[in-house]
This record gives sequence, C-alpha cells and structure tokens, in this order.
Amino acid sequence: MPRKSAGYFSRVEQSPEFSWIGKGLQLERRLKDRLYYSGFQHGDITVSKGDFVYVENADSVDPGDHFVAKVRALYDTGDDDDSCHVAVVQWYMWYKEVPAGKRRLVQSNDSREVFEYTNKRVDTDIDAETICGRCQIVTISTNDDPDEAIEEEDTELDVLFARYAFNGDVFTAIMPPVKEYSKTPSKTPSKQQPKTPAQTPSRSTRSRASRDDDNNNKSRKSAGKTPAKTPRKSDSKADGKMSRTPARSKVRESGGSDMKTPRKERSEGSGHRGETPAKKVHLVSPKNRSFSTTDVLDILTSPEPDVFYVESDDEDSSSSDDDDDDDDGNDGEARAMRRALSPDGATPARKSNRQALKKAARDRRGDLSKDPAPVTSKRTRFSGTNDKIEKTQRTQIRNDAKYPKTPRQRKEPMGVLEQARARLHVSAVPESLPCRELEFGNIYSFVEGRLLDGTGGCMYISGVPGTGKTATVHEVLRCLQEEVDDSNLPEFQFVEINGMKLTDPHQAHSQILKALTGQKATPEHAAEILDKRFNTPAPRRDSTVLLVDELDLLWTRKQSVMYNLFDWPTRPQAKLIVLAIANTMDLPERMMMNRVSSRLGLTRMTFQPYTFRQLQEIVMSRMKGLQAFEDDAIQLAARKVAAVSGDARRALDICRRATELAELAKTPGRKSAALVNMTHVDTAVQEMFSSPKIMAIRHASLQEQLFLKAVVAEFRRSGLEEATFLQVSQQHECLCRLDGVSVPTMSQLSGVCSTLGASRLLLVEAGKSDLSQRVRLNVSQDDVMYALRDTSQS
Amino acid sequence: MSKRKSTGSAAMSEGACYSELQRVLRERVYKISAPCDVAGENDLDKPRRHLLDLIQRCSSMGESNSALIIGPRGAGKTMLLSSVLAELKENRDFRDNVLEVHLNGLLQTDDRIALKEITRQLQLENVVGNRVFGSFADNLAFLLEALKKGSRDSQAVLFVLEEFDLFAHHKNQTLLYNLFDVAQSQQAPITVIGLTCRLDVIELLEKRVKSRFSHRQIHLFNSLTFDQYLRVFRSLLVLPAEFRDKKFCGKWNKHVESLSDDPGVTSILRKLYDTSKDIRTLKMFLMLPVARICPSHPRLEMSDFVEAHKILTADSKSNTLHGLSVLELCLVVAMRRLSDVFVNQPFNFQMVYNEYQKFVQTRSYAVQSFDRPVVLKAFEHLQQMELVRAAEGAGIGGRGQKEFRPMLLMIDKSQLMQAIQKYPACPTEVKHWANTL
Repeated sequence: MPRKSAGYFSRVEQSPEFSWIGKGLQLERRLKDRLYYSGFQHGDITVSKGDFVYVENADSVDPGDHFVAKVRALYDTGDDDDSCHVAVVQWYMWYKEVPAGKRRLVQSNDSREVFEYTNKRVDTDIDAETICGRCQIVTISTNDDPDEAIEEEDTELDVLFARYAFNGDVFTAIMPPVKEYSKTPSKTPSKQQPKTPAQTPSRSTRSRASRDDDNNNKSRKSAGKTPAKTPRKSDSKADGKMSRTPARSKVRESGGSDMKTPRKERSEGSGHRGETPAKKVHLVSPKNRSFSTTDVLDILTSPEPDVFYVESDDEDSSSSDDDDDDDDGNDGEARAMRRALSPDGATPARKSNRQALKKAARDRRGDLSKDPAPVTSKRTRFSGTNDKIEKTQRTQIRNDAKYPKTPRQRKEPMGVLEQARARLHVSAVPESLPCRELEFGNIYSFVEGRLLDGTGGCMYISGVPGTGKTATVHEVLRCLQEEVDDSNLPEFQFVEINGMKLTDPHQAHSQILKALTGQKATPEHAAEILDKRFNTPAPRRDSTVLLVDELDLLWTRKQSVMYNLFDWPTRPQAKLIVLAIANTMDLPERMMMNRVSSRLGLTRMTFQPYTFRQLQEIVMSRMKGLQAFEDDAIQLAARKVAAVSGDARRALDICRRATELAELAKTPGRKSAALVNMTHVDTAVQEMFSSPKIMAIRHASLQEQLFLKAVVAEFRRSGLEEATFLQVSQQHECLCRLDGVSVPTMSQLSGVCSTLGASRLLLVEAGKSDLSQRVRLNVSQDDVMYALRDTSQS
Repeated sequence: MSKRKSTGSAAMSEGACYSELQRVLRERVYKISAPCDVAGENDLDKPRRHLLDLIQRCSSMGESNSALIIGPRGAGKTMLLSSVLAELKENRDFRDNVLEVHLNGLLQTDDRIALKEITRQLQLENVVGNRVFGSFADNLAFLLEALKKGSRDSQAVLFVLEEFDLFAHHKNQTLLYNLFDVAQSQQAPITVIGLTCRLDVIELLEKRVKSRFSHRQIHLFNSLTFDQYLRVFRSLLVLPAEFRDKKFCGKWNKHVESLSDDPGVTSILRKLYDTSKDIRTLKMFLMLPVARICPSHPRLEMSDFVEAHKILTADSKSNTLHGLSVLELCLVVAMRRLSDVFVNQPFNFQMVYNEYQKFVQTRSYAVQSFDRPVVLKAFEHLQQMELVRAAEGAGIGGRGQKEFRPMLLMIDKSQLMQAIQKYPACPTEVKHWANTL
C-alpha cells in the first residue's frame, strides 16, 4: 500500500498534543463559542483545511486500515471536553468499503482508487484527533490513466485517485474542473454522454492548483471569489456555503441533483471560507450532467428516456440559508412529492400488499416529520425500473453460488395436488404472512424508528415453535431492505445468528464479528473487538440489526454472551438493534440475571399460538387459486392442530401428507384430480399423532406379550409401579404354565425383556444389574390389557 | 465353474452338488443384512411405497422431506430402505441427482464426529482445501453455508440416520435441528430418514426440533403369522429353480418340504416364533444345521435342529454353574436358601458361612469340611464371576470388612435346579440339600 509512507503512526506512538493553528474565527451567529480555524497540529501531524487525510477506523482491527477524507473545515466547539476539536470532512471510500451489493456497478482493480462518498446520511463531523495522517487525492476522469495522474503529483504523501462519486446508491463519474470552459450553461436538458474526453490538460492544471492549496492556503481566496456564471463559479459558491455550514451539506440536495453538488465541491479542491454571496445557478449543462451507471441502464431500459429534469432553483436557493426548519420543510416537501408520485404505478403491483402494511406501520408511529429521507423525484420515477434490474441481477448472483447443480433437470410440479404440495411445503415462502399483521407492524415500526433515529435497542420476541417468529422478522427485514433500496431509510447491516447453529454460546461473538467485518477470530478476541467497536464512536457507521434466534441456547453460567448482546445496544455510538427470539415468555425472568434482563428492557412481544381460524387462513392463503382441498378438510386439519399446539408447520405438514394420500387414493383411470377430503386429512392426522404402542403390543411375539402381562400382574400383586426382573420372571413362569407354553430360560427371558426395553414399551434399567434390574411400564396398564384382550381369547 | 458349465446340468458330481448347495444356503443364512425379499409380502407394500415416493420426489422435484422409520429390531427397517434405494438407483437420473450420507448413532457418537463424517461422505474435504479443518464450529458453519447456498436446483442430499434415537442425545440436538431446519427451508433439497426401534423417539426431540420435523412416521412391525414364518423357513432352505443339477435340486427341495411338515421341526420353530418373530433369529437358528451339511451328512436331521435350539436358548448361568467346584456349588445352594428365607434381601458372607457350617455339620460323614479362609476364597471367586454381587446402596457396608458386606445372589432357583441336575458327579447330599429348597 502506498500510504505506508505517511507518518500516521505517530499518534499511537506518543501522547500527542493538540493545538490549533491560526486565529479562531467565529462564523456562526448562534454558536458563539464555535471558533473556526484553518489548521491544527496534533503530534507531528499538521493538517490544514483542504488537506486529504487518513482517519482512524475504530471498527477495524487492522491498524493500517483507515478511512480517507478531505478536511473541509475545522472548529473548536468551545466545550471543555475531549471531543471539542471537530473536523468537518468530505468522505472518500475504498473499494472494499463499497457495499457488496453495489460493487458490481463499478470496476476497480487499483488499491489506490477511492470513491467520493456523498451519502448525506453519513455524519461528516469527526473528532479532529482521530486524523492520523495525510495523503493526496487526485481527481481524474474515468478514461484517464491513474498512474500517469499520480506520477504528476509531486509530493511525498501517498497519492490516491478518485474517478467516481458514490452517494450510497449509484456511482457518478467525477469530472475534473474545466477551466477553459466558458460557455454559459444552457437550460436544455441534454443526454450527452458523461465520458467526454479531453480533460487531461485541465486536470493537470487542476491538480497543480490543488497542490498549491496544500502549500499555501491563503492564496486560495482569489479562486473562490472569481465571479462569472460559469460552472466553475458555482463551485466556489458551493464551497463557501459548505464551509459555513459544514454539517448541513445535505440541505442542498432537494431535487434530482444529489450527485451534482458534492461533485462540484470536490472538483474545486480545498474549500475555503469564501464569503461570496450565494448565487442561483442552474445546474444543468452538458458538462455538468453526470450519469451513473444505473442512470445509463435506466436510459437504456426506460421506455421514455427523456424524463430527466432538473428541479427549479427555488428550492436550491431557499436551502442555502442555514436553518433547521428550512431543512425539515424541504424534506417535507420532497416527501409530499414522493407520496403524490408513489401511487402512480411506478411501484410494482406485487408490493402493494406489503406497501400497505408498511404504510400502516408508519402511520402508527404517527411521526411523519421524523422521516428525513429526502427523496428526489427522479429517484421515485426510476425506482421501479432500478429495482427490477437490481433484483434480477441479485438473483443471478445468488444462483451463481457454488453448489453442485443437478445434472438432470428438475421436474416442475404438474398436477393440482402436486402444485398444492409444493405450495404447502414449509419452505415455500409466502408473499405475505397472514395473521401476523399486528406483530409485523410492531416489529417494523420498532426497527424503522431505531434506524431513523440512529439509536439502538432490544426487542424480545417469544412464542412456541411454529408460530412464525423468525418468518415475521425476516419479512420485516426484507421490507426494510426494500425501503433502503428505495432510499427511504438509511443503510443498515443485517446480522443473523442462531443459538442452535452455534457449537458453543461464545461462538456467537465470532459469528457476529465475521458477519460484520469478515474477520475470523477466536470467541474471546472477537468479543474484545466487538466491545471496542460498539464502545467507540465511529464516524461512518451504519446501523446494525442483529437477529438472535434461539436465545436460550446462548445461556452460559456467567451469561456473558447475553450480557454483551443486550449491553451493546445501550451504548450511545453502537447503533445496534437487537431482536432476540426464544420460545419461553418468561425467559428473561427465569434464566437471566437481573443485570442482563434489565438491559434487555421491556420491549417484549409474544406470538400467540395460531388459533384454528388463523391456521385455516394460512393454509387457504397458500391454496389461493388452487382447488385442491375441500373446505371442511382444511378446517379439520386446522382444528386438530390448534387443539394440540397451534404450530403452523404441523398444519402444513398434515395438509401436505393429505395431498399425498389423496393422490394414492386417486383411481388411476380418472384424469381429474380428486379433491383432498376429510378422510384423507383424518388419516394424515392419525398417522402423525396416534401412538403406535398398541399396534406394537399386538404385533409382539407371544413371549413378549406374556412378559408384559407378567409385569402388569406383578404390579397388581405388589401395588407398586415398579418391579425387579426376578419378580416378573416368576410371574412370567406362572403365566406360561397357565397358558401351556414352554417356559423360556432366564437368558431368553432377559432377551425378551431387553427387546421390549429397546422399543420403550418397558423402561428397563441397564442389564448390568441382572436379576435385580428394575422394570417399569411405559404404557398404561389398561393399554396393555386392551391390546392383549383379543389375542388371549383367540 | 467353467468345468461345471461344460458338463451340463444333469451330471454334477455329488461333492460338487453339496458344495454348491452349501454356497447357496450359507449365502442366504449367514448374511444378516442381505435384503430379504421373502419377508411379509403385502405388509411392507404401503410403507415401501411411501418411502419410495418421498425419496423420489426429493430427487425429481427438489422437495425436502424428513421421515422416521420405526420398528423393533429385525423388523426390516434397513432392509426396506436399502431395497427402496436399490430400486431407485436403477434410474440414472436418481444416481446423478442424489448424494447419500449414511450415519449411525453408534458410530457418530457426537455432532463433531457426525459432521466430519458428513463432510467426508459428501467429499467436501478437498473443497475445504487449505482451511483449517479442526474446529467444530468452522465445520458446522461451513456445512450450513454449503447447504444454504444450494437452491431447488442443487443436487439433493439423502441423509440416513441409523439408530436415530442416539442422535437425539447429542448436545442441544444441534445436528438434528440443523438438518430439519434445512429440510424446512428454501435451501438445498435434502431428505432426512431416521431409523430407530424406539417407539417414543419423537418425545426425545426437543420442542424446536420436534416442530421442524415433519412427523412422518413409518411403522414397521414383525407381523408375520406362523404360516408365513414357516414359508420363510422353507424359502431360506429350498434351492432355486436355476440350480444346475435338477435331480439333486428336486430331491433336496422335497426334503425341505417334508422337514417343514415334520411335527418335531414345527414345534421347535413354534417355540422360536413364540420368543421372537424376527427373521434374524431364524437365520441364526439355521446356521448350525446348514453348516453341518456335507456329503457324509447329506440331510438336515431333526437332531441338528434340536441341538441348534438348545444352543440358542441355553441359559448362560446354569452353564456357568457347571464349572464350579463342589464347595462353590454348596455356597450357591446356601445363598439360595438364605435368599428364600429373607425374600431376596441382601445377606453377607458370615451368614452364608453359618448356613454352610450347619449343612456340613449335619452331614459331616459325606461332605468334606473346609476352613473359613478357604470358604471365603471360594465366595470371592463367585463374586468375581458376578454370580454374587454387592447389593445396591451398600455404601456403608462396602467400606467395611468383606465378610460383612451385603450381597445378593444373581441365580434364580430354576437355574440352580437345572444346573444341579446336570452337574457331573454331584454329591447326592448336595443334590438332596438343594431339593429341600
């Protein structure tokens, strides 16, 4: 890695001193204590505004793993604590940091490549002391050779290059500034290709200029002040604004221009506090028009590719004022717009059901203004197409996963009964989960709220097996992920662990760590890393949703695993949402220590066993549009299951077995498939629930039957429910004599006894104790007599 | 073999005939696990169809399933499964579509070993390659990953778990949970077939595991009637129609027919059938008579069957008693008397010695008297043979002097009487004493 040369280890090695350079300026009326500086010294690192820097990554164990950013402003909050030195940065991300789902959108083989990260949801204020080194970034156009550009840089620092900006959703090519460009931008939307060549000269001048910035900050002012309505100009305006309201860069995105603003700021290089009055600039010009890869896809796939448009300037200018209310108002407007647009058919119809649920969940929260998602109208327009493309690609990726394929083609289910059986399989994922709407809504709003607030929390979900706990949570997360894809929610990471799939409770740490970062570590080490991660503030961290299934198996004597799982969400920086699932309602009270259950909190939810109506609805909903069952048949299955367990899996299994029976019973001559009727379901129920013990006794050999009788006789004689083998054998002998059967030897008899013990008709002690081994019945005495009544008479 | 072929069907030497006969019969009788297609024709039909459908669907439609085959030992569980698999394997599609994993609860005693065995049988070791293949956790994660990555179009895996009940004793039932979970989710198609003789096996499953199990149970019973049992006996012995020497074959088969009608043989078979209906016992019973067949012993004799039955049903304890010295036998009788007097309550050596003294003093003219240390030695010998053993809860006495430890006799009166009668040169006084019991 080229960045090794920078001296950023110094901070670790010595206890560094922090000092500001220059005089603090007060730039904001309201925040009188906040003083802005042009640079600082920290240990032996000197950073000025506009520098590209490495920032410590608290989440990573690798000390050489750093974030890259550009310092846009530096200020002192005036508070008297550790975090009073703040740097406002423009983030860059390494290729490896790009979310896996988005990597296919961009190609990068060069470890020196970074992407400008323009996601508005990322916190751009960091502790200046976490800056641990400097580097240099050159901006080049997509078809330039990075090596050439880097060689041109005359600096001892690591040189990286950036070609694309990434807003968390799409990549946009970054254009280097074009100095010789003088044409006034036209308002006409244009679909010019983004990769206009011939930027090389301008880029080199540009990079030289930026080097000048680094050397001499003060000289940059003149550049910022250059008047004229060129795009160049708009850049300086943006910079000025940015530096004044560092944290609020997002204000500028209101319409479809989310790509553009940051791009310009960046291409300007180091921002400086220019006091130039903000000017309205139309952002549309052939040169400025930027295209992401998905945009190109959109154009190619969209039936009407000319729907690109740029929002009016009004929003833009209104937002240039730094005011919170304004921000919200703006968001509200965008939101309203989105709402107005969303039902117009852009969203695929198949989502409608879920959409309604989600909406219901959101309405229940009743806090619309909290939704900060500034959704652009362009985005909404294209979401449908985008989604479709992304989804097909995703499924392709999934199918490409390495696993031995069958060389033979699998048959598709053909007949009605076969189709019904395929649908009734527990694994068949229904489009929506019937009868769990309320639970779905609660979990959804819980997670959504936490995601939007950027906080953490725990929820405990309990319910007997087969009541849809895990399925509902997965459904919730699927919906949330869809919302994220539509950019309505901030990104989050989803991690799932299952107590049953761990070999040891402590492995949970390793698995979580592996899912979060891909690292492998021993459980102890993983716990340390995770603890550090969730305890230290990290500038760029998505929320994490952690699903802990079969929680009770994570119990250890010290309960350290559970303690950690529920303690981390309470840390302010963790952004961890834990959904814990277990079977028992009172698990927190029964198994957990007070300090653990207290951290778990009181957000509980119980999944009641399904009632027979619900089970019926579940089966019916799967059978929608398929006439395979008589109505009564489903009801019978539902009632039978509801009476025992309310386990949806059982109901589905019974119905599935019933279809098989119906198929067997079908007369081969008749073509039309017979319906599954009550008798089929009843047989299936019998097969599954009836005890085979009586049948087993009837089919036992004569001596076995006699032995069982002898056991019963001995019990009646002694009045106890237990006898020794010796006692039973004496009874057995009498019975043999009575029935005129030859008396078996002791060895034979103990063989008989152990056969009965093996099938658990009898509970027998280990054979070691020989004659004194104790024998008990595992069936009721009445059952034995009932089963043997007929045989003894015959 | 070629020589025989050339000589044709009719003219086989007698010796060759008998060696051929031996080969045919021994193959049938000695192989315990060989599929026995003669067993209960129509009873197995339905479960067989069910099982066949289940596995077939997994291979052809990618449908995951789980089932249990439950039946007593010797009921033909494994035989059923292997005959179904043999039938399916004739189909090439099936061979290509399905991977088999066979596990046995007696061999794979914990999940770690079971997982290693699964990876070995799926030949995933080389896929794992440079990975450290030691950690159980890695192994599990890897296997789950491998199964999860599959979709409906992946190759199906058939898991056969013999002695299924033993898997339920593994810690947390992790393996079962995961197998059933895969079978119930949209992952690689797998079929889990468990074989067990425990009727209450479902109650062993933990509630989550139970919920994931599909509750398909195929019950097999030893439901042969005595007529069917006789038919099996016949079919085990008759020579096949394609036997080369037709004349010899006809003669032999007629002999077998007459045997199965012989009241002596049928009564022995009846006794056998009354004790245990399974065919495995029958084969074990036939082992000795079949082994005896040779040119000098050309027929199955009644005496062969009687002897085989005697060996099979022999009581091990009365046989052991034959090897005891007269002193030891006297002690056993004394202990039996004590047990009768105290209704199977424990006794100690001192009591036994007193009883023995009483007997010797009254009949000192006939029985040699031994000193106490010698008697103690004889008593300890019996203890080593586990004919006498320390009574349960002998915690306090166990630490005391060995003469006073509470003991129990492990020989029943009938066994003792049997042994005394057969004991070579048993002193009449002892016999008499035992008879007064």
